[in-house]
Amino acid sequence: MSQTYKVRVKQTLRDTVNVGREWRQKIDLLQLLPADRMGGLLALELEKDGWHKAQDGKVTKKHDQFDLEFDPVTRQLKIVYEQEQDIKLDIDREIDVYDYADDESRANREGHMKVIQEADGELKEEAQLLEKEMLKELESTQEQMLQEIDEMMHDKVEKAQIEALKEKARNLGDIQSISENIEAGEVTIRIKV
Amino acid sequence: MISSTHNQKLILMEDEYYFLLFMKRLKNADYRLAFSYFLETSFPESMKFSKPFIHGLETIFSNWILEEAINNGGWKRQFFSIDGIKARKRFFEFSEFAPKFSCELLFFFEDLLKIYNSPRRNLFRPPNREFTSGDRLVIHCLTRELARRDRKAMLALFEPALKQVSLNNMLLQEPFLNCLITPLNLDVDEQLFMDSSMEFFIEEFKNFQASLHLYKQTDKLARMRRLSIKLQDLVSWAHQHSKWCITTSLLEIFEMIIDLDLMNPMRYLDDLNQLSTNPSHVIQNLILEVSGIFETYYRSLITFHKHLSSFSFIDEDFDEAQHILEYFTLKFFPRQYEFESKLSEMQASFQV
Repeated sequence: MSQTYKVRVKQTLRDTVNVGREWRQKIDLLQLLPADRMGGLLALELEKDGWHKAQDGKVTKKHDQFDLEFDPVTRQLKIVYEQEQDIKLDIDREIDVYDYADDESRANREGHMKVIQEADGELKEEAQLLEKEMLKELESTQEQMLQEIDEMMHDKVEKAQIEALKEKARNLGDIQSISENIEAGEVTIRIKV
Repeated sequence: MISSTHNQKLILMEDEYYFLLFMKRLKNADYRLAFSYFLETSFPESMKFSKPFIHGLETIFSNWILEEAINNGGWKRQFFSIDGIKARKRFFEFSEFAPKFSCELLFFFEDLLKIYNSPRRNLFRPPNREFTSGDRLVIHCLTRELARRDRKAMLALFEPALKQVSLNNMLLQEPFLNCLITPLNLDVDEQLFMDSSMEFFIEEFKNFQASLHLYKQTDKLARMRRLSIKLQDLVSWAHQHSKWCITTSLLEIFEMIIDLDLMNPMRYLDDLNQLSTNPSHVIQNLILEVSGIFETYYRSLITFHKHLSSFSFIDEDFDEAQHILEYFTLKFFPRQYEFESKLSEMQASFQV
């Protein structure tokens, strides 16, 4: 004997949407001192600006939603954007399931499967939409943020280079005087050899 | 020493014969045959084998270690070496090399049999054993053979037992790539063995790079990241824990990075057509990250050299440090410029 069953499914489906992007750039530094020392001086400058030094010698900072990491050995700056959002879908649906052999549990299983499959598709669509939105948000802020980071790094690179120049001067002889014109980007160091 | 007994009645001659056959099969990498045709019950109580048998067994183990060392650079080391180091590197001329074996090694083989014969869902957990340096070297030789034959299933099966030997933690190729290198306490015999048989380690590196092209771009990067950790560990191992025996291989790896064209960006891309189009940020990131791995390794070698140069003659390891500095002079500095220029080329190739 066959029969049609009404199956009611009440469930909550969850998913997580991740949007991540990474940029790497090599920071150009004047070779006033050995490369790793130049990287070290830049790391010191960044530390003064609130960056944290990790155990492996890299310095890190959170800039808005961007994670920054500078490696003094390779002189590479890694910028990582990572956002995560949870979505959930509450369903409470009824479905008619026909079973040719009057098997209630099978009809129940089938009904559940159909509803979940359907809802899963909806959840995926929603996740895709959310991902697009999150990417759009990233695209809108990305350029400005990268520019800000570039400017900040440029400033620190200049300071690190001045420090390197002073260190080099100290190695050459006794420093008599140092005058800095920050606006013009000039440093004058008098040394007695 | 492995204990023996004169009470011949306790031991059946055929058990000794079958145990020798078991060892021979293990050494020849006939693992299935070895484990399938030897019974745990064939081990005598408390491993009390006859005296002549024990002597024979010790000779087999010693020869296994020596054979491994000779086949993996023991002879070749003479060729590389310079005055002063020459005698030091010739493993088999070492009068002080006299590995001692204990009963624990035989119990270890019994453990292996128990693991092999136990149901896979409820594997036998081997107890921690107090091995002598000779025992550890035999187990290390067995592990090398397993790795060489790429017996991944066997390695996975015996992993808990094999990991008791710290030397096994430093093998480079998969499946050992995940092994962590922790500060090891190697005794003199183990140091000598490592010193003389690093060819195996070098071969592992060659195999690693030769199989890179089999993987996808993302997997290649993942493998390179793990390699980076491994190399860093090795350098700090040599540097901070004064494991000098590893230095020559570190420098050989440095040379191989140049010679085996590892700084060619094309080796890390999936599709060479990406070159004709505008390189994306993804590719730039990939190449910069890989180049960063090589640069970090290179700089860590320089730091290590500086550390060695700072030794004064009153320091305990002064003589050793001088030998290693000579290696640097021979193998590192002549190729420094070449390495740096290849690195710059690599980094400049995909700048967006």
